[in-house]
Amino acid sequence: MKHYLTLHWQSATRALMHILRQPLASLLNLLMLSLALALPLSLYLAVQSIEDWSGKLNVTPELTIFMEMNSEPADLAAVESTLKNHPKVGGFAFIDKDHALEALEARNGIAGMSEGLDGNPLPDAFVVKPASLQTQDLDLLQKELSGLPMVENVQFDAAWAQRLSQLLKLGEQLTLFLGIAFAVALVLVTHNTIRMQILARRDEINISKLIGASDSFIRRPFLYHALWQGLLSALLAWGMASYLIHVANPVLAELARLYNEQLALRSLNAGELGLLLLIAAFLSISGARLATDHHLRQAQAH
Amino acid sequence: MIQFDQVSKRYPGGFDALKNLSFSIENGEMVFLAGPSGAGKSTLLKLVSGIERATSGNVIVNRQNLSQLRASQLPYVRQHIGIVFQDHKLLYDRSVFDNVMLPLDIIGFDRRDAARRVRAALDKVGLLNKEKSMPIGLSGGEQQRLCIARAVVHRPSILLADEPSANLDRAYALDIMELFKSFHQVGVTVLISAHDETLMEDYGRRIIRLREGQFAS
Repeated sequence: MKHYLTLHWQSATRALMHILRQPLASLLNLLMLSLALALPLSLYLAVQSIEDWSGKLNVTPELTIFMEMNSEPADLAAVESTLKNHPKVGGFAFIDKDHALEALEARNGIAGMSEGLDGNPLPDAFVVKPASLQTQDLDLLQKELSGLPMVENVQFDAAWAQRLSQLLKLGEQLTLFLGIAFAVALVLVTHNTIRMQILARRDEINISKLIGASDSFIRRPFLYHALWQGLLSALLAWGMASYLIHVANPVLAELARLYNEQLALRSLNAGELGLLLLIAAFLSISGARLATDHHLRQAQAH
Repeated sequence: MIQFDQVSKRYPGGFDALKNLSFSIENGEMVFLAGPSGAGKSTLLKLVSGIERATSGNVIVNRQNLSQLRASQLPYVRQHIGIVFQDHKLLYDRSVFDNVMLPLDIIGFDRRDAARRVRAALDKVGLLNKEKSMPIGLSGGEQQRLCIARAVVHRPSILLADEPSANLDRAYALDIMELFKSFHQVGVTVLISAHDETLMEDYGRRIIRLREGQFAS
């Protein structure tokens, strides 16, 4: 067992030395791989950060039903009983027009405003909390409520939140798509670099085989090379994404301040960084494995 | 022990390199393999080392039937065999020392012990003072001896040499033969092929003569 570990340790250190001995070529390779990782990674972080932020906002969508100015108490009662029995309504509150005016005056510090008006310009209103937040359900509910007698207008207060969550969903899907596309790219790029290395070291491989090297002996240095390449490019991609965040955050903060909000992109946490390293390692080893297996199969055929 | 039991080898294209050959070589024996070019000497050596597989018959090396062995097991058979190739098959981008290190790396020898072994093997073939040189700077005879050092560094029980004295002058060739004899004297089974029989006859060892894939009488 110790012997086996020594062999692997030897291969691992030698593969790392091999990368370090050709700094320029290795760096170009790593840059290519890390760019492929950094793009979906940055998008992931952006979507995650905006989701975190939007989750903290009070974005429970509400519908507000404004009654006609000349609606009678009987009309109000009718709407109220409809709301009480409607399956798509999670809860509701009635806002009496007199209270609404008082609240408006209190909020804006314009006490006595109503004295300059001919009566109360505000309508009676209901604030409805929908049971379901699905877009179709909300649209349907809005339509149904608009159709009730003596209802002037039904406003959907959180339409923008709804749109934001749709956009975020799109962002998530884009991240997933990009992630998969670049994962495939990572495998292919590694496959190619390892294939080039195999070609460059073909004599060594053939001679080693002739004097008793097993397939796993042949494969091992290439797999370790790919492993290092994957891990280093993941770290580099992490660095790129962190830099991007570092640059973007002051700009975002300034933008958010205009809306009285706080918005900052977050960096990877330890778990996510670990996962990133694991995925990068797995993908590059897969690429190297494809390349070595292909070569060994060809060598076998001779 | 090496045992051939009705072994034939036909290459793709229909060329019969060996035809129904049976013989055996005891442990520790030194045997010469003679015959003109194309007689099947190289093929025979390739069958012993598992580089090629017999088309029919059994090739038994160190009590293992190579004809029945899975391809993935062949490398481990080869690790007990030392091979001196006709065209040397050296790594020209590595030093003399690293070339001899290769078989020990493959077996997974401890690095410090390995360096000692490599120097002992280089000393044996008289190349110890060239361990840092690159093979390309060596003469033909020195390259041949480097190949021998690599073939014996892991102390194989069988040593195969394909035309080791080809392209060498007679004095040098005799040197090389003496080297093989010294391995034979420490118990290694040695099988050497050559098309020039004059070298072999001086040694009084068994000679297997081949002609067109069969024993020549």
